[in-house]
Amino acid sequence: MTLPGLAARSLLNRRASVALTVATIAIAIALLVLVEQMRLQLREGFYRSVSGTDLIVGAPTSPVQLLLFSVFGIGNPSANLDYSRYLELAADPLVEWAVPIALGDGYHGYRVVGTSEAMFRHYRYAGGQSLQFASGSGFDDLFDAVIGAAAAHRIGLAPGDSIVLSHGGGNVSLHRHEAQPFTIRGVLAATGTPVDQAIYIRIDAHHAVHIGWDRGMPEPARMLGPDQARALAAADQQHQDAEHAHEAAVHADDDPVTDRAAGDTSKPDPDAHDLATPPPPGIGLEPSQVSAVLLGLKTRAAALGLQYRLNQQRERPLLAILPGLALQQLWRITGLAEQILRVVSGLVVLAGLMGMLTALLASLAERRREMAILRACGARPWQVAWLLLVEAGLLTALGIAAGLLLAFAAQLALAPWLLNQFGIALSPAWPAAWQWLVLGGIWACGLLVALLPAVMVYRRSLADGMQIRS
Amino acid sequence: MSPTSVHHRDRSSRPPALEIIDLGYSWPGETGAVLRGLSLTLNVGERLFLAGPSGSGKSTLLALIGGLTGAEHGSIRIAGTALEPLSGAARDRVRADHVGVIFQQFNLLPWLDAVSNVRLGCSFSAERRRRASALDGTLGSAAARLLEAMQLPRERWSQRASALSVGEQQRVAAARALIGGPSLLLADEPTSALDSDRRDAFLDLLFAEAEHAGSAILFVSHDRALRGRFDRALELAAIQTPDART
Repeated sequence: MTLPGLAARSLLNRRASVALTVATIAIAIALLVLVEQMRLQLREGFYRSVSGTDLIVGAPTSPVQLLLFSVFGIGNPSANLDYSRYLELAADPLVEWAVPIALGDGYHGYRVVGTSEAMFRHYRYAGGQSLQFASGSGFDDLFDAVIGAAAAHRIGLAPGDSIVLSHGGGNVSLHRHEAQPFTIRGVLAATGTPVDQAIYIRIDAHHAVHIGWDRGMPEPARMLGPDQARALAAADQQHQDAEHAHEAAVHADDDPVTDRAAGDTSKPDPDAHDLATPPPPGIGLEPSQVSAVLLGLKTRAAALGLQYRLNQQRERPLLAILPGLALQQLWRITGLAEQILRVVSGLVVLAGLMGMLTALLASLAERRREMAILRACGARPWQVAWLLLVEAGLLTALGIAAGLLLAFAAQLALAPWLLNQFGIALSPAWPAAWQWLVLGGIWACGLLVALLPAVMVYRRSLADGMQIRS
Repeated sequence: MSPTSVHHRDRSSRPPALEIIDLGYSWPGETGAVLRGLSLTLNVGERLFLAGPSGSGKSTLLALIGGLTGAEHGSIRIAGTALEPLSGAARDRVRADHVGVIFQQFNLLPWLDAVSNVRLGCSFSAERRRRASALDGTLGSAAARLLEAMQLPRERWSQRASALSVGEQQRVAAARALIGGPSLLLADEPTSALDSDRRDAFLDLLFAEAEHAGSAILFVSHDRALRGRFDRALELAAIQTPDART
């Protein structure tokens, strides 16, 4: 029988205490691996969501705040941007596409985003993937809604269903937009990004339902009925079409990009049919504000220049951020907490190894007899001590293996929760190469810790010889 | 028992299994020697009964012969190899290669089955493994033959040692000490835990297998009733210089 074989049999004999020791190490390892995996996966998940967006523009605030509320639905904008700024951005020659984001409403705890058809056509995630419809289609009617995969699944909504939005994003809201129900028109395919957790409506519809809410309270007398709103929207559309027809006539080669903006700066006229007549002043559905604008540029290289130009505007300041850089800033903020978590999980691993040391030391007394028997069979003292090291090596290796499995299972278990909370899709992963190095180091530490009992055994078996002292 | 194995043919040409000349030892820090001027020769295959009351230095003598303790004075040769010039590790190797040990009790690793306990006797010596294979074909068949010879029922072979009776444990211990045909079998009161019927049966089996393996037996006991069964019987005090114990 070889020494590792003997060690394994000896461990098997003490399987109850061995199982406890392995479990202690496993939990410690799982924590360590989990902290690291979650950190990496979260970062990757966040990056997936913004990887197709070149710039995010909003009212001046902190870059991290703008990033979090505009893309991830975390927090709220402290200020909005004039809608005209969105139109200017959309018209900028460097800009390929612009997606407006208007926040403020919710449905069953999911946020409602006022946006344009451009969202479905141009938003990119995870290295260039575009949004797909799992069922239904994009906006048709003013009060149409498109819902993300997870939200649709959780609430149980399908195309054709009618929903009444809550004013304010929370789960419980005092006020609801009862007068203007929305109809689900499309359900998006799952993306593993916060898109799955949102409900999209037209930005002019977003504006329409908020008419008469100026003081944060509904004033029914001033509110628009759905049909009134539709009439206004139709007028907007006609006006816009006319503009595009005009544009198309001027730039014969240009493709009309209808989704660049929901309207222009001029006020629409419900009855305007004559293009030459400027629209009369009055209430239109053109939104007054947007919370943020997502931009895709014609060339990615232009992002830095445009960001600089936008951020330099002194008279009407706004904030343009590069999503990747803003994420880096976010990670710098969370870095300290991550560091603390790492230290804590490192200490837990240390505690696990100490637990193993305790178990090994406790077993020495009952093993004195076995050592004498081994010595009588010709074992050298170092071989008897080696047996302990092999045991410790096996225990630590088992603990690490079990810990990895535990971490994997925990990732599987946590994935739905994270998806629900942050819209971040986790794909459970095994540790990367450098993490294996860390695990190897922990294994070596296990051996190092076992040196103490091994040395004790060496000296004892030298002194005891084959005399059995029990 | 007629000589059957190859070991017996050239018995006369082989060095004695054990040769002790003028051995002296005292515990560190103590005046008064435990052993003084002890001389003893055990020929190949010879069975020697060594009697001594407890506290007479039996354990010390066994530790010295086993090479676990270095002698202070005099010399010990195991199958022709002198232990004194050797390092501790080299003495361990001589023990592994040439000496089988049976204790009074607690002979076996309780968590190993009977067969594995027997094979343990070869675990630390390539020489013993080689001899066991030469004698019985393979290590497994050597262990099986010994357990068979020791009359351990086959269904007990895979039992953990802790599940065996004391008598069964002693027979497994004897098989372990004999596997791979050691030159010398050290037996330290191996029968004291057995009743007299079992004791006689155990000695029969032990002698037969020692004969087969060509192992000399140094049987240390205070139970002088057994001495008649051995080739020779000696008192521990009688083979030392007279003032060894005061």
